[in-house]
Amino acid sequence: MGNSTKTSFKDVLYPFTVWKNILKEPVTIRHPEKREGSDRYRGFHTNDIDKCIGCGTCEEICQNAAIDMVPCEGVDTKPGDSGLRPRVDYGRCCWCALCVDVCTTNSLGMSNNFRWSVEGENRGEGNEANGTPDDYRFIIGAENKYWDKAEKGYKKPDGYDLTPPDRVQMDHLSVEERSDSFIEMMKGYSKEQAKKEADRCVECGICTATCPAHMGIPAYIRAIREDDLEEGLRILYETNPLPEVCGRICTHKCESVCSIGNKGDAVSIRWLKRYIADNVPAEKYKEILGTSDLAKNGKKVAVVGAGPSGLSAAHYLALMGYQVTVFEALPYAGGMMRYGIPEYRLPYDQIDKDINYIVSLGVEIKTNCKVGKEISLEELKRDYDAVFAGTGLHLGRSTRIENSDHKKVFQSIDLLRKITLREEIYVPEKIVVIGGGNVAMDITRSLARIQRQKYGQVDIVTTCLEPADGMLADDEEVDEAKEEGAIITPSYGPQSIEIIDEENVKGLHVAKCLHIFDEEGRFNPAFDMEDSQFYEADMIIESIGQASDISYIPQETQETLEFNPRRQIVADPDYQVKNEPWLFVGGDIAKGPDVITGISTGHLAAVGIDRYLRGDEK
Amino acid sequence: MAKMNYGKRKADLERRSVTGPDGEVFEVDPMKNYFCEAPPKVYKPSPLTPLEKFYNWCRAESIYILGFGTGCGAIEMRPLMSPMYDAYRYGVHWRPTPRQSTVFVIGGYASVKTIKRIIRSYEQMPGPKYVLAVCSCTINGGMYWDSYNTINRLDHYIPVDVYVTGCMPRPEALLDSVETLKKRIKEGRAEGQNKYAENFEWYKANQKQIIKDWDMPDYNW
Amino acid sequence: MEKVIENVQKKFSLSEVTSAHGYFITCEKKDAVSLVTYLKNVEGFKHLVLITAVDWIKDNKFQLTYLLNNPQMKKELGVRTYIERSVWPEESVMDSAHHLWPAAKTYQRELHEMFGIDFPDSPEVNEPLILEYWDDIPPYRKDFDTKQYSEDTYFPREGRETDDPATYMKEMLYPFEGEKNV
Repeated sequence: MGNSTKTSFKDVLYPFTVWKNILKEPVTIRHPEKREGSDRYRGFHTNDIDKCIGCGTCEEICQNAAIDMVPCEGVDTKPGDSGLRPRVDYGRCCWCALCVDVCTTNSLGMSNNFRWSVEGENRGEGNEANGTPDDYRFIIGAENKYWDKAEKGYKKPDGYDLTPPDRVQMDHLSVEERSDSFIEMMKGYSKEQAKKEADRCVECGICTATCPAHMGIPAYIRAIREDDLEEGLRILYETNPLPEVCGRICTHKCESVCSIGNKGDAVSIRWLKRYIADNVPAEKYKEILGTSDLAKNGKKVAVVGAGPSGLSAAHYLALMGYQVTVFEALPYAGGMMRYGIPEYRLPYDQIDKDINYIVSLGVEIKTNCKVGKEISLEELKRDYDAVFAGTGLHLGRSTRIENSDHKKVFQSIDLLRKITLREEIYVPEKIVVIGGGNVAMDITRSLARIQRQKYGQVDIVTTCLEPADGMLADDEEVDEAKEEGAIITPSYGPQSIEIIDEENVKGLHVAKCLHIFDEEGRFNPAFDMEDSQFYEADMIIESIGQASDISYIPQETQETLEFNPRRQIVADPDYQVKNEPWLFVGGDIAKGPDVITGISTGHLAAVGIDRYLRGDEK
Repeated sequence: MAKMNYGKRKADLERRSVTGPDGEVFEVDPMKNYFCEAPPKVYKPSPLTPLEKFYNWCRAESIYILGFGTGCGAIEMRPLMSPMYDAYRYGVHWRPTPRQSTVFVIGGYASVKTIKRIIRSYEQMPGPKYVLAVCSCTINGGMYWDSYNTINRLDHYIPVDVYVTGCMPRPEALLDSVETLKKRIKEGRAEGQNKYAENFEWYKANQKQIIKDWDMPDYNW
Repeated sequence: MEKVIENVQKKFSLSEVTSAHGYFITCEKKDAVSLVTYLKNVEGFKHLVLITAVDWIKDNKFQLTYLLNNPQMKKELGVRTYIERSVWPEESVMDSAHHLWPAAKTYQRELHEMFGIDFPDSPEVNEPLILEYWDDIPPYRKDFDTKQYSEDTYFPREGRETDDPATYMKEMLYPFEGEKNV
């Protein structure tokens, strides 16, 4: 016992043996330990600046208000891209990744990096090297950060979308039902379908800039979602007095830039517009829009041509209190909407619904009254305070190939007009159509229907210069034409028309088109003559574009007009003609050509006329 | 009208007579007896630069953190104590009382009620002292940006040396910020204590603007 | 459970009975405390889970919910009642239930502080529970704008600004046409 209490010299020295560790390598890991985050860690944000379109949906969904949309250097505002980019505030962010999940272009992601400390404010000198808390606010992807190139991290999983990528399909007539009748093909959305489709909209508003009339698209889609169609109709009429028409046949440029369209189908904006217009009865329009009694200001404006631009101008002028008279050469108002677009796409009673409302505002439409024939433009200038001309493009353009002036070579626009007027037209068993735009599809499908009614079968060939993926017509138009039995042969250009005698044609020679525009971008198609075809036909239809007929404008006035290279009249931004302040132009003769541009020009001209007649400065 | 009764809470702080356990009666004035009345002072660095550098090295290598988890981010401090991260090998220790600590880690959101305790603890810490602000909430409000009861930025109430973003930052990020703090101390820029002393009036004004039941001395040392 | 509700209906007039998400019965304000007393003493709902309130500002009502638990039946029953919503600084008044469960005192203190609903007989109801010296509208009332209050009080970091994509595109791409408006 006693022995053990005795401290030996060895025991005294023993604690100092740990000193030998001074020279050893440490067993712990040297600091700082840089462990990587897991593969799908939600760390700092990354953004592909070129892919991002600045739709602001990330800002909208952020529950912490951590994201601002700000202009970014090197990014321009253009249709389909707002030019803004998300700037995140890491003093707000909670890395929930909702922004990544909702991103409409999949440009936003997260890296698996998570280390970032900065210094607070100093008393004396700066602390730039280690950053300041203001650095936590940065444009994602535009300010070189160490994690920008990181490959790992949270990305939206495939197949997981907060907005469904597929649009709600509209019920339509089957091929059998529609291919021999002019009954409207698309049936319109039901309430459930419309609400479901409206739910896909993220209300970014990118579409509004691209729409020629700058319609309040997100606002009226929200109205559908909230089932407030009256509010929806009011929003429509702010910028567009022809919603029934546009809801059916608008060129829907908006849908081409829809942010949802970047990863699936665009929201079917056009059909949602149609849903609103279809589901508000015509009798209630005046009450809803508050136009039951409009104050008159006693001034008179003449509108030449009852097409979309003329009707649009008449509508907005009537709202401003002007007495408007519309002069229309043809028996019914509507212009190209009625005479250019077949009934199966746009039923006439729907055009009438829109036009009747405009007439009910006190607009007088004089049909069968051609300016230049029944009444001259000078008389209008004398009798009215201002004149708006929206006479459109009603002359077909010719291909000017050999024998294109033959009797059996027709212009599509003339035939479409005759079909509308229920006039008897010549429809043989074999037809060839030259052209690849929507008008070519319209005449192809109209004649295919008549052929089926008459002969029980379709034999119609439509040929165009553009390749299949570059056709000017809408894809669904081309597909539906094919379903209805027409043969579409893209990339072939017309060379000559072979004739039998003065009364009959034999067919059309075409050759493979190599390119349409030359290196300087001018229209100058080149053909491969080796690869040529011959289509037999009893009738050939040219549908390669239309020209304006402005012969009603007196010669001396015409001389003062300026034209741009596309033969459109040059006018001020409010469509007042230079040198002729009393004359405003609109529609296809000034811009476009399409319905919604016509509506927009008519609206702008109406505002311009109002300014001019009130004597305001521009 | 709201008829809230605040009297009872205040009574503890009032000057009064107390009978001790041995029967002796004596006067107590909590506001004066428990605290030093002197305002904070600015401490000048040592005139000898190498000596000051040595001091800063010492300060940087002995980080004594106050074990006061003020918000959800404080949960990320615990793993640092565990063998997994073992922050002790970097000279980081946790202390149970402000009187023994040099670094205050504000772990995320600070409600008005908490900020009162934060200020009290901060002022009790001996200098030189440093503040590590963890989580988005201390930078610009974070998740609680629109809360009626949570401050948006900490540096309006106490001086902050290092911020770490994250909601919450992982322990590694916290460790990383300790490295940043060490660097800052070694470079002699971590002067939060002196900044607090210099701008004492401004800090007090901000603090009193939100802490409506100010029942403590102006300076809690 | 249906049996309990039947029994209750014999004695009290209930305006609403739902079982979609658990059982909830709605009674008049004057019946509320005697109803929970009955449930506790006769039907065996001995445990008070919580008392809470909902501010139905558009209907100008506070909805009070007493959530009770029956340990024998292992069932929960919510008793709802609507009381008049006073305009601040007037307080709404409700009868206290602290004599049934001591814990009710804490919930009632909370409701007094957060909603401005007074329970006159409840002990310590006038003492602050969570907030320390709150001098604004009680924060859980819907007419209290918490975001505005936060911005005014807590110094958000400056320099935040944002553009609306649609408005920004209008300014950049079509400033002239953007002005047209009838």
